[in-house]
Amino acid sequence: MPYGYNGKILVVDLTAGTWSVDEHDETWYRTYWGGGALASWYMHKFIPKKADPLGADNVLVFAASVLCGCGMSGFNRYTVAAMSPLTGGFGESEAAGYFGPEMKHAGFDAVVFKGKSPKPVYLWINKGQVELRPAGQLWGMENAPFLDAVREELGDKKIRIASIGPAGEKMSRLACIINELAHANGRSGMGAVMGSKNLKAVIARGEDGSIELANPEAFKELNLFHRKRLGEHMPNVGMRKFGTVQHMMAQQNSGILPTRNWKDCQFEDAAKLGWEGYEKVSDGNHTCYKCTVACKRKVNNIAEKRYGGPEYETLAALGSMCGVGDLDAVCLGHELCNAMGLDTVGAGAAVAFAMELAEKGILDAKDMGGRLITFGDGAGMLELLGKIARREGLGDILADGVKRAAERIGKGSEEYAFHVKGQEPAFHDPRGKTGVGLGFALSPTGADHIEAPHEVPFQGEGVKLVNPLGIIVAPKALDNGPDKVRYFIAGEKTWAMNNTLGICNFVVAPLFALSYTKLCEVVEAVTGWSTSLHELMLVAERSMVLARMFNVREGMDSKDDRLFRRMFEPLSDGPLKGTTIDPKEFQNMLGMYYAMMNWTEKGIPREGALYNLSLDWLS
Amino acid sequence: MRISLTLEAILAKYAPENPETYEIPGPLTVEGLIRHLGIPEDMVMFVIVNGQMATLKTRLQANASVSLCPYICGG
Repeated sequence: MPYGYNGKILVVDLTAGTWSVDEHDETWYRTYWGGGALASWYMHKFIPKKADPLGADNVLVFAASVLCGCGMSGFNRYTVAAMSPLTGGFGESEAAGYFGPEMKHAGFDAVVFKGKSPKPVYLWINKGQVELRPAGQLWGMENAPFLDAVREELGDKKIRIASIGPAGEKMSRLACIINELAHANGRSGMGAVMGSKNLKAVIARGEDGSIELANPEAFKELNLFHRKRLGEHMPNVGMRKFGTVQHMMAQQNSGILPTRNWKDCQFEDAAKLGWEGYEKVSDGNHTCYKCTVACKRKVNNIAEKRYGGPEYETLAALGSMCGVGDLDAVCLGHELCNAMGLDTVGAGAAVAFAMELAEKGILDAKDMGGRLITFGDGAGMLELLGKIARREGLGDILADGVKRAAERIGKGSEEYAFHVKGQEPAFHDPRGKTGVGLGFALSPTGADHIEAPHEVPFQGEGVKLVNPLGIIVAPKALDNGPDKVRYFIAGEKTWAMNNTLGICNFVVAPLFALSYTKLCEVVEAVTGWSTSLHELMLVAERSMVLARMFNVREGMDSKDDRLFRRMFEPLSDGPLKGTTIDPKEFQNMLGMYYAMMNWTEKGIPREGALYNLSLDWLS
Repeated sequence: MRISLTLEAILAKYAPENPETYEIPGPLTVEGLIRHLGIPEDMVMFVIVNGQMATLKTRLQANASVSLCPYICGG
């Protein structure tokens, strides 16, 4: 009997409407653990090379982990992964909320979808029982009415749900998956993959406490300790009070707030979107499964409050990036995205891209459906979001992401389409923290801001927080030398570890309350596996290399590890005015990264790296 | 009572004169120090006192080495 996990993975053939259960042994679980690593194993095995990401050959994996749902604050994340319709490579997006723990409590550590259903369906997992149910009558519904309808249909108000809205159904490559209306697997276009498979939702109902723990007494003690620490550890106290809203003024004051499609780095209305303005519409906190941090927001200025309030990335996406300082409009945009199932990061970037094209005269009023929509137009931002979700007019072009949109629009529009590998970056400017640039360039999913903890807090005395990772010299924010790359790799592994173990970045070291020593104790109490930070770092690196090797087999290499044009131009204003990234120095950092990772100069993991990670089967 | 103060990155603009020998008005907690320096609460991510992460309630002792780090990260 395994501890911490079920030992069962549900494999659903949507084409045939059948399912089976994979049972892997302990060695397999201790090699792949969960999240992106577990999902990658299935992707490598079952997705044919050069598959169509929106075709029946793609494989979609919902993966929890051996720790997810154990009941400790922040141990509730799960991954959705598939070949990305934005990049054609490895696609992955994590979410917290409630779905991952419920899926595990319902009897499965992961669900793997193959094929394509001939008609719309949803999967219903009820305490180990599996049913594919027709969803034709529910197709087209926004996420909240859909949730209410299936609760009614199944006669159970306690179901947990991960669903797509109309944007996913219409296969917008910017579509996300929403769980419990306020949590998103936002990036990588995973909502479009669900839509392409005619899969409206995955719904689970389990029994809390059904997962057996190796040492319940030790776990209880650790859980009490963790909760107490979360209540007093300063970064967690701040996260509970302000959520990520506090990023807004931090970015503005640092001179690196992405504004007007990355053209500017200072936004005159930032304070209206930061806590000073946000406090006026704040309506308390949302939380995730058994988490006492409760960093998520509720707001009082939207109609369907269950969709929650915007967090930093959305405030920047629909606010500063679009030049919109009207917080009401940004909150409405967030509500619209959650209702329709759109990734606020990608969709906001697409709207900002269109606004700049309008400003440059590349798009005219006719192209935009009757009137010119430019920076600062809150109503226009909402109009374009709606069109993207419904694939109407210009929205049909923008729905495929800025890379493909620029290819269709032409007229030099690619100059303003900012992406890496086809995915739009979230809103952190690498010119003020160059490690973020490494994350954007190297992330296997395309530009990603949560590839490694941003280096700024670890300067000065803060370096003590990363000492346990072997980082003794503080990485300066604008340094481009080996200290930065060493730090980045250590940081990248810690967050890959969190993604693989299903832990929220906001509860664990280096910044947050749970130390690595205590984390190892939790792993042992839950699974019975005596472990160390060394093993967990190997697990993390295995996950990173599995994803990288998926991209390698799809033809990607160092040529795809790039930043976008504006990062090599000087910051236009503010305290860092004139700062830029030297392209040669950046290239040099990438070279150092490959060498330190034991990858070739082309960015391909060497055979020795694969053997070292027990990935012999990929060599 | 004197402490040695370091304000990292964007918090530097709140630095008093002679931060290495900064005089505080009697015993203060970390929370009190942040208020005393006039720094908005949402701008400070953590404070390190004598090499250890402090809580808001940590009481500062004479000659303490105090480092304030701004809120700026990703996620």
